Amino acid sequence: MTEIRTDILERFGTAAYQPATFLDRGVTVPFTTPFLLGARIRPNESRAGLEVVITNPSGGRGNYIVPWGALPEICAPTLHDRRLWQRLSDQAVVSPPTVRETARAVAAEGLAGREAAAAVARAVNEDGAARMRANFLLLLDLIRRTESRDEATVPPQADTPVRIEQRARRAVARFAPRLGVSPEIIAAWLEAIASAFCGVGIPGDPGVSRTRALVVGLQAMVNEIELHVAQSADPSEQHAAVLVMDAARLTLSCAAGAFKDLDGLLSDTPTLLRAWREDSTELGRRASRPDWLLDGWQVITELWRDADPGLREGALWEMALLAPVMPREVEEWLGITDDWDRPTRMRRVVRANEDWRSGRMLEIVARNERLRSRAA
Amino acid sequence: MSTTLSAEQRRLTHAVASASDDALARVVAVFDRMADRREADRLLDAARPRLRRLRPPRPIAFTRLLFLPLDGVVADARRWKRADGGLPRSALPALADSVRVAIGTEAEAIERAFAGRSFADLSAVDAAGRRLWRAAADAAARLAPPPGWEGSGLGEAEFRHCAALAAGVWRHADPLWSALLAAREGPPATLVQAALGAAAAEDAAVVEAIFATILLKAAKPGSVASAAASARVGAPGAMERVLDQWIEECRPDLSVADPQGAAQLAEEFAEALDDLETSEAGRRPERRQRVAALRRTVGEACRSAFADSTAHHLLDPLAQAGARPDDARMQAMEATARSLRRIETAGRRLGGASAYDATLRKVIDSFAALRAAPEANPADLARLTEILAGPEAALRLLDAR
Repeated sequence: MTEIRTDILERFGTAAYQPATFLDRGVTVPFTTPFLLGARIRPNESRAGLEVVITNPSGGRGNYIVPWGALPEICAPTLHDRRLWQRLSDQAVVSPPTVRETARAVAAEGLAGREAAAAVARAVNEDGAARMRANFLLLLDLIRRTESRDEATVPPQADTPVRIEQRARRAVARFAPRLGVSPEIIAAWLEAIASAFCGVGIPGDPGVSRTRALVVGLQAMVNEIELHVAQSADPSEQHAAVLVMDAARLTLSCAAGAFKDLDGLLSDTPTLLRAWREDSTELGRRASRPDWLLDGWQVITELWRDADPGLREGALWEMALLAPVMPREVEEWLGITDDWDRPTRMRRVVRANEDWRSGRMLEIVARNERLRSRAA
Repeated sequence: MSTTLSAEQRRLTHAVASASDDALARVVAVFDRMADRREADRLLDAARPRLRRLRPPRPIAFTRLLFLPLDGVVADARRWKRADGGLPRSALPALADSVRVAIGTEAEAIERAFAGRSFADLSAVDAAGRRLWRAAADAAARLAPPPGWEGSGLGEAEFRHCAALAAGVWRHADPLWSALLAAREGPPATLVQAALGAAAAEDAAVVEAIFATILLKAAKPGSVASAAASARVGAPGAMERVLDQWIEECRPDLSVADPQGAAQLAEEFAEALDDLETSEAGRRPERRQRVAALRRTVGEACRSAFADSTAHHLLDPLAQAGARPDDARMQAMEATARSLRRIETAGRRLGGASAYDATLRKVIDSFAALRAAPEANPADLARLTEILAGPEAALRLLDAR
């Protein structure tokens, strides 16, 4: 489990990993093999196959970009990662949801341990509940926007379940002709929209959606690192912490922009349904933006949480190595501009990840499985 | 009367020595809370090799802290002879009483400073230890046999010997402790030489005691011995003698009941032996055979621990009819498997690779047989296989029809 074929690997070393788009950046795969922690899958240049972007664990020479098929040759992946690699090889589309679903299916088999399997079962249940809540909230909004003043004497959210169902049917039936489709199609679209946006969360949802929870966790991590730096013996020497905070703040600012854009859309079900009818694919893309923006941060926040308070310096170096680069595409998405090369430049000061070389691979795999179970 | 007491003591000593690891740790915790642990120390003598392996968290106690710099020369009272140097364990409580009287209120202040802390808390040991050793060294001239000294079965000459040796070490405990703090890194030659060099003007027995204490904790005994030899302090041949004694007393007690502790010990032995064999001190013709014999002994202990532990902790429980380990049990089995893999990795460095291959084959074959059982969880078996034998073997087990 420790062998890395450096002779093969060195062929794939590159300093040129400055992704212009989120797809170029790739999607983080929850691998448990120490060498592959935080590695990203993306389509290759010809778009005919896949490749994996692996951070150079020594902290030098940028990244390794390895053809997907060569992955088992360059290192000895864990059983879980071999299965995941097999399943992802069959995927036609690379996106955070496809990687997440595939990874959940593999973890559910118990190959990353029972804890990870149980966490996946919980996460699937939570996603199902979030989907139902999203559908319900979209329907409540449609009721509000289609009822007359007399019909709306009782706010829909305060009505009985039976009455809510009747009012929802009436709202759907009333709205369907405006879009020239049947009520059944409206109902199906609402379900599809709920499915697409449940990870984002509908405004008014008392639950915290998956991506918003990640934002909360990321913000908490930044606050804790700030405190850690302030309390350190020499705050000016905290290069890894600065890199992580810098990249995290940029991501948080972009995520805030994306949520603001989506919250406006999700607060008006009729407009949302019209937009879905016009171009459901485009709306689906917008729904996935928080996922793309936040991709890669789950494992970093979990690394921070998992680290023994006395060993957080080491954890920060590992986190800094994995800090995602923000692609320029975010300018098109959100109109945000920044010095996009900055994290890449700072990356050069990141030192070697010594844990990775310590020979305690089994312990690190166990740690990575623990991270996996918290990021299902 | 005394015969009855001795018989009772023997029974108690035997009971403590044969207690399980968990029970022994609990017994030690009780003893550590006793105000006067003279009797308790005697009961623990037979279990000391096991205690060194178990390393239960011990609260900081005045006597233990005071004599920490002399750990390498504390001997079983029954085998101690003044001519051999060192300190008999039975003398420590009375000597500590003598120091306590000599340093007065400082003793109470130091005890208050470490109250409630354990020896795992190195910053507490560091602060309290350095203060205590300095105070004890300053008070050395005032040390006198306390009222309970006769109870140790030793005379005044023995007291003078023990006090002089201890005071000599306390005077140089600062650099010695710095070396001990870096024991996992060797300790480095500069720290070893600084500790020994500081005591160059002392009696040769003091230098020897400092070296023995460093050696007791050192990860790299060969390098430490070489560094000590080049420091050119102490009596001629003394370092060689202490190193030989260290080799002689090495006992690879790898417990089947405690795979994690066994793994730690196996790794430490493998590192120490590698270092001994490559160091100048270990390569000496007259020592080479002894080191090779120790390697064989430790290698055999690793192989036995690996084979016995896989059977005891993995195969037997899984083979029980209808056994379906719950989550906690499975997690514990995986943790055990990781420790066994560490024993195997360390053990292979010492030789006998074919024995490990044979044990692993047996384990994997047994897992494959269990895989066929209707109640088996293939993922559990595959994960244990992965930890012990790698992902390829696990994949084969998982995909077997």
